[in-house]
Amino acid sequence: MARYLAARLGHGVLVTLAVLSVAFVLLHLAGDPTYLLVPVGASPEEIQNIRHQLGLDQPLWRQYVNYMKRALRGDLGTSLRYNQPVLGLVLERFPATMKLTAVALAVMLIVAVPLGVVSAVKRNGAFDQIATGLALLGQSMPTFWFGIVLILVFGVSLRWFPTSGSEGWRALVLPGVTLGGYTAGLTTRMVRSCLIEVLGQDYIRTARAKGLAERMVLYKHALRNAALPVVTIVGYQLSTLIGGALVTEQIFGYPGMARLAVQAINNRDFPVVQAFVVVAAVTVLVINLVVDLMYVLLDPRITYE
Amino acid sequence: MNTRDTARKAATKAVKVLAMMVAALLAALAVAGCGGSSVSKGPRQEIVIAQGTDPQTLDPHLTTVQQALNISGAICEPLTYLNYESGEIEPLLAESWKAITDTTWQVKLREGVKFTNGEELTADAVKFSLERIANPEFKSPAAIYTRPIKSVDVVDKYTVNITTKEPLGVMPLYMTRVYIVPPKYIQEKGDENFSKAPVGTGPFKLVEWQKDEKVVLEANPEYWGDKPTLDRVTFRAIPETSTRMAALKAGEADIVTQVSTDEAESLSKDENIKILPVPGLRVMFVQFNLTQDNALKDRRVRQALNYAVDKDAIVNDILRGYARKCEGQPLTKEYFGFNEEIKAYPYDPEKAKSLLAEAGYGPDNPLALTLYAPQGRYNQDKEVAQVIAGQLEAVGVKVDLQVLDWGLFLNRLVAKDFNPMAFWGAATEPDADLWLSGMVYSGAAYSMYSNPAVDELILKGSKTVDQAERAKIYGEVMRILHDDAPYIYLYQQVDIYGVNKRVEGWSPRPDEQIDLKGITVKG
Repeated sequence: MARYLAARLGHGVLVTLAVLSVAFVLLHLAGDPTYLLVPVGASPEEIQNIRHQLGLDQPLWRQYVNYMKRALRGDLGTSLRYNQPVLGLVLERFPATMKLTAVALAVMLIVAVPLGVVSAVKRNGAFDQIATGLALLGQSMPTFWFGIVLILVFGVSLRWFPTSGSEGWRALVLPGVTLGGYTAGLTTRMVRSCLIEVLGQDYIRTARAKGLAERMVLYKHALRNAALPVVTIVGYQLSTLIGGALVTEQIFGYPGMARLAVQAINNRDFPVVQAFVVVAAVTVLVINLVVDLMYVLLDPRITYE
Repeated sequence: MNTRDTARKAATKAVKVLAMMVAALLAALAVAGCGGSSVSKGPRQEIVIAQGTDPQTLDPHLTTVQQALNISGAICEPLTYLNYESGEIEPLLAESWKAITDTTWQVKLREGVKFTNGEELTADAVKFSLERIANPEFKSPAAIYTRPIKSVDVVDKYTVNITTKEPLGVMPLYMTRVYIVPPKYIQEKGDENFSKAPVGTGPFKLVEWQKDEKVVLEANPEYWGDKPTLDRVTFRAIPETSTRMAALKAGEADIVTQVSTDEAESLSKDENIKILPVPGLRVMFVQFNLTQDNALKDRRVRQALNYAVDKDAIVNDILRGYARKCEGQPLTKEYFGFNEEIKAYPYDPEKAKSLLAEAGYGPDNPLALTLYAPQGRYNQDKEVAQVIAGQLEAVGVKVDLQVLDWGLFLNRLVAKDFNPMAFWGAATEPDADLWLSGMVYSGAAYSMYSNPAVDELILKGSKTVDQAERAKIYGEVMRILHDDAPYIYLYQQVDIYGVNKRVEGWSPRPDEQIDLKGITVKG
């Protein structure tokens, strides 16, 4: 187990380094941010000075080496706009994003698990048809559009929930549903197909044959075995949720790290975007590791030796 | 009983339980929701203002972004105040000021003014503030306003002399942008704490700042001037335009900024909302690159292109009236130095054709030009560029329209890599000196024009302290720029605000500054 963990962590570090490099390259393709920082009327010398201060006048490879060196010391640079260390800016907003992600995950599970289970059990019935249709709709609906519709219906017309912000639990409902609804579609379909597969297994027939109540068959034998692939999907969906936060936080004016990143992209605040990408990547790596470790709990056959 | 039926029964039961849970949950949420929104506002005067961005800092010396200064500028005040209605610069913390020599401005401070931490406003605070901004290590973007200053000398407790390197006519305007901060407080708490929790002499003081969520201010009971009419002001940051509009419609925000023309139409149908448009400081034009060899070197061609474009059609049809036609000069009437006597080039395609013919262009030998334009930067930018291209085609000019994303456009703009012309817009502080120094003076950052006579006048205007004399000098520059036509003068952008009708006594300013003075809320 310890060896497995060490290998996984080593692997995680390598991936993080790769992410750092990709973030660097992508953002430098986007153009020179100097001109967005100087007012009309700045002299060419002033522009040159600012570029020099930022190190943007050095060859790209040297900028890269300096960047990686600093990154390894935990210094991802200083924001061009905020003039503060970027890691602090991102981490300051990390809990808000995690809170939204947790709410979205809860919405996703509350919607997807019952829908998937009932669809599987009542396969090809009317409920199944409707649920599968809904799942497809959820999967194909753009988050942006869905969010705006929720704001207009529940925020403006009905006034049940605030249209934006993060104050109080009510403010979390609409962004949570927007983000959770988006991932609920795929998850519903996964739960359904996993359960259908399990329900066809010999041990389910055996369980029924020995006279177990159908509820016991469903909850104890079928669902537990279907849980494994579902956990994998949930782990995968968590990274989708963090990505989806980019759009959701922006629409709902939600004060998380993804909104900070969107704003930084618009301002070409390179270091902030880099820090966001790194923090998001590390979060996903950690989540995946946790998911893999959860297999041990869920399936006694799996051990990491 | 067969197992399938049992499974169905279990599932049916599950569905029922689930449906009940969902119904209960929705009902609970709805009840809680209704309870929250029916809180009575009481007699307190409170408003919520939703802007597109949260301040990056509340230190008025660390930003020139107006959205941030709308907040820190309610807490800290500058020496002078620009009144757009009268066009006059009025006293604020400075009771009076005068040029005692060509290069020295003597400023008399208002006496008995206190910062909200109890510190008194003195000449030392002014000196401290100006030197703080000018300190290169502090990297203040407001340093553009203190750059011309050579020294700041305290004469007595309430008098300070500001000496510039050269005579500088625009100094009183610069003083509207320089906020006075409390020296002792900053020395004790440090710059970083001040940027999170500033104190000042202004009509409001900070209650709390939740980053990216809201900044709450409340009236300063000891304010030296007229007592603020509002008890509490909340600035919210809602980046997405449609969400900002939703907050206005839902009654969560009372004033929202940056309404798009599309949304203005739909908001104006809401009986609780009024739309307040105001012509802004951004001037839109087609700039000719006269630093390169091209057909536009011929003044007749430049004038012809000015006659060929139908400015009214662009303003009314493309921008739906949310723009104002320029009067044949780069400045608008909000700027000091605007020449009222000059009128726009009339739309006259025949005149354009004849001028082009004089310059040697006709159906057999058509003029061919490339027009560069950005997209996604200005209101309807691509559409306007297409109309301009179409109108030029109508007088026989072959136009190759190149629409670029803003980033790419900007890179070319600063490299002056446009041959021969580009559609864009510029805004500066509302004084001819700043606009002309950046946009027209030979070799300036965004100038693609060179005229020694104009350069001389720009320098002269900059160094003239007498305001009437300055106005005359810039009036002459406007006349030359009208006739010489280094631009196609188009229109100025209009900023649109959405306001809940319960808000009274507020009108928007051309510079995006939000003045909280005199706002009242009814009902």
